[in-house]
Amino acid sequence: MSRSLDTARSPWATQDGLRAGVLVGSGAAACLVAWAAASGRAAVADQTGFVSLGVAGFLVAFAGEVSWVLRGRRAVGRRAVLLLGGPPQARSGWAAPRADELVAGAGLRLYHRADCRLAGSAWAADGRAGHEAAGRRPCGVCRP
Amino acid sequence: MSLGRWLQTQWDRVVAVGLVAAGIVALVCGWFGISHTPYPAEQLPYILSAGIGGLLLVSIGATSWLSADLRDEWRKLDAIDDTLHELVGSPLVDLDALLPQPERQASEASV
Repeated sequence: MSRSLDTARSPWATQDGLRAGVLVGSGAAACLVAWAAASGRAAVADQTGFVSLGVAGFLVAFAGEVSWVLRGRRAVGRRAVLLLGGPPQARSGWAAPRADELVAGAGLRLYHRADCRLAGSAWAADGRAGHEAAGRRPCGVCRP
Repeated sequence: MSLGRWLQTQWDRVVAVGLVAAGIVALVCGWFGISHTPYPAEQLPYILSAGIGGLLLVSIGATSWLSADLRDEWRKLDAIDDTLHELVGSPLVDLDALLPQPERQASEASV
């Protein structure tokens, strides 16, 4: 039976394996070279460069492993979304306030659109200039 | 399930455990080697071979284990895909609701 969404037998493509193999292989080779070269020297000063080479080799190999795992996770996630659907969407019942009427409560520091969720139903309306003359600033939620 | 069959199906996890164990052994051997010489010039090769090599083995083992988990997830998705494919066309499934338009057309073409 053919599969409908993805026919690959594994999460990784051939180039993913090649990339990871080259990185891990070259990193491991660098570690081996560093060890072999450092072992034949009697002075620490002559060895420190090879220690750097060994650490760099480890980091290269580790980058190859991380790349492999991330590629696999991405492929599995993409296929799961195709098969099972994406994560649940946020409910969109909230509508952004759009009213032009600007209201504020007595003694409060912010003025709001009349349909802002933070606005009181019995607050007095005024113009923008009036609110700002009273020292009020626009609400950060409804952004009048 | 027999041991042979289990090893066959869980080869990646067996490799992972083997690599992590080898890495830990290398780290312990490196620690013993370093602790038995007072000269830094004799200690650095242990750090390079047993230290960095051990860490490399542990990290490759961990990667192998994570790969095994991803393969398991992939196989589960295979099973779900097969089941969905068998249900396509039956009155139990509304294909329009299951797939977005491009995937639906591709699916219909492959049936």
